[in-house]
Amino acid sequence: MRKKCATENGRKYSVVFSASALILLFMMAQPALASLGGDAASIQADQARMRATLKSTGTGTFTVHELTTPTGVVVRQYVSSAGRVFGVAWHGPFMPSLPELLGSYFRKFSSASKARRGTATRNHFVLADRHLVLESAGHMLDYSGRAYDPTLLPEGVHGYDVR
Amino acid sequence: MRMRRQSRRHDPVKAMYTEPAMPKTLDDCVPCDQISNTRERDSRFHVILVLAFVIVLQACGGSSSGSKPSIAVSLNPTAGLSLFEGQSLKVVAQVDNDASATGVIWSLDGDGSLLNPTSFGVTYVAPSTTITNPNVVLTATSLASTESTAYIPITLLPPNTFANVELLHVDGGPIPGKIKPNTAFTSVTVCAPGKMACNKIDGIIVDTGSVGLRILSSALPSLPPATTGGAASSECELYGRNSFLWGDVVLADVKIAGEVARSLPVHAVGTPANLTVPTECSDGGARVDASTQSALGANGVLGVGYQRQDCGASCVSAGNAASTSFYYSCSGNSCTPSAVPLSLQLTNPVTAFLIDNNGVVLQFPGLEGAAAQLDGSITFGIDTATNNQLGNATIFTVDAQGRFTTSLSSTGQSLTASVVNSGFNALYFPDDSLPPCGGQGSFYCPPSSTTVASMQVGVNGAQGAIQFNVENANTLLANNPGAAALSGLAGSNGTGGCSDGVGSCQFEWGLPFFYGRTVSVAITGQTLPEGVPSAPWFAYSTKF
Repeated sequence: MRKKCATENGRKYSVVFSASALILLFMMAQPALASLGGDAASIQADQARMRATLKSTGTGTFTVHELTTPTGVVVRQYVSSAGRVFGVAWHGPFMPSLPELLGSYFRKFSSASKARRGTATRNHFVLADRHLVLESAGHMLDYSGRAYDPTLLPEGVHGYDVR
Repeated sequence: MRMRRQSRRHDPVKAMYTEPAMPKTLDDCVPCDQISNTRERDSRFHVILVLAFVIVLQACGGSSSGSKPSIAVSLNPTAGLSLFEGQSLKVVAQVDNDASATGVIWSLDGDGSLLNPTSFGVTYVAPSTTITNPNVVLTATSLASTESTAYIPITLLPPNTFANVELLHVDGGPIPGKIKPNTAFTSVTVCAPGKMACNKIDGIIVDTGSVGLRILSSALPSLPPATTGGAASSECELYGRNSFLWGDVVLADVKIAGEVARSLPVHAVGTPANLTVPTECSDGGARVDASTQSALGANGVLGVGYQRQDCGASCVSAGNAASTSFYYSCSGNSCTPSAVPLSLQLTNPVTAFLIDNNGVVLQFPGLEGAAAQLDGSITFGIDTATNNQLGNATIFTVDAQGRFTTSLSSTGQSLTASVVNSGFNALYFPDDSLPPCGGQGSFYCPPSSTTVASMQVGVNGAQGAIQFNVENANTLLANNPGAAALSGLAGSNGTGGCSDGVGSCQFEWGLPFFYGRTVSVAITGQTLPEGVPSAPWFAYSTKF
């Protein structure tokens, strides 16, 4: 078992570590995550990069791709029938990479959260504007959030369907 | 200096106690066979030594053929502890791999005296006069190898104090003129391991929602790094608001009231000037760095939550390092995500205490409206002393992430990811019928005080009805400009509701939940009294 070796044998540990660092480097060269506003073409690459299991379900109006990492982080990507990601949601013990999940929308989130320095709580963030509704909550080992672009929602789909 | 341990100043706490919480008999800590006289032990020691040597040789097998096992000293008691004036402590040393069996030499830093020192034992006697410096270090050094040492950090306590009680202050925090509302602050003493270099640091947030002690590096004495595989280790802790705490993991002796945690991994928050925050932690500079006093509103955070370590098994596996992005291995100015064994992860200080190590009990007086300051207490241990008995408190078991269910009558929703967390400054829950205040905060601003009925339901099915008021936050804050403690402060943590455990499913019971209650938090994997569910769980009673 790799975990056991990592704690008990320094040499094996460093070999495993170097190998995984190489794998990591290789993976970083893969296409980026299917992000908000982007297309769903890279979901299989996301799965490989995140070492995640993939479960896909559909409603007819949209498809939900649910990726679950070995550490228990769940990422859901909501894809319209035209193949466009209109919403993303996440929960789990670690925060997924929001730049990758939010794509071009990340800059908006980033500048808004920086502007709110010093407000009441460090554990929540809510943003609602014409092109981005985002809720992020969390503290150690318990993170969750969702984001969607209201203008990209397929007909008959509500913001609260993204969760 | 506002911290005083004199419990008699803290009437609500004293009212509960029938006798002071003295440490357990110290002889309890030392197996009787080890305190027998030296001659007897010497002869037996040779036998043990030979056996130990054979076992070590066998255990090492081929991997260390030819290399001589190094001499190691260990002490009993194994952990740090506290003594009252005039009390004494028998300490026994064990030396492994010392073929000459020369034993140890004892040395004492701080007040008190050593009685009857022998090669394998000594009695430390605490001073009977008024204590000037509460910090003492007793060190045993191998005579065969002076590089092999072991030590016990000791705290000296004045009479009429509780070894396991520290005061909490909801007083706005350490920054003058800037009130951090509904936040419980305490103080801790941090010492270099085995050294007398100690800083007493106040303005530390008590947080049952996290694990481990995090302190601004600028407030700490000089501390050695916690190294993994020869490299220094650093940590990135993320908050939901897109902010982070970044800094080195260091080792320290940590003292809170009369409790002592020896050589504890601690987060030294704040980047040294010569080190840049790795891009995985700052998201390429997109996240807010909360590693300063002004951003944190505190000098540190004392995480006393449900777990022993802040990350656990996920961070031990090298394959997870990139996806967790929690621990980093740093060399020079470069840090990369890396695995860290459990023993070097940030550790719940409570689990390192000698006796009161299975949880904490937080206690606050009730509060109607607002107060400039509200004082409470944190008591270490559950059912380990006369002052931390569970009594008839209701136990709510929670899942591995600390979650249970809250039913909200106003929305008819079952919020299946609810948490109790003293680190939140309000009650946060999703209720679209309560109007938000607008602006930058996420507080609720109903036109008039609104009563909300709810039911907490543990994983074990335990139920407790709780009714509370939601005040208009703008009015509450405007009418009470100097208040640090505010009941009725509530806010939104999401919209759109919760169904089948997905969506806005959290009721976050922040510090106002603790007002008027005695709340116990039990730590996973620690020994709990017989007959109670295994941790994690919280329990509370309101009889106080």
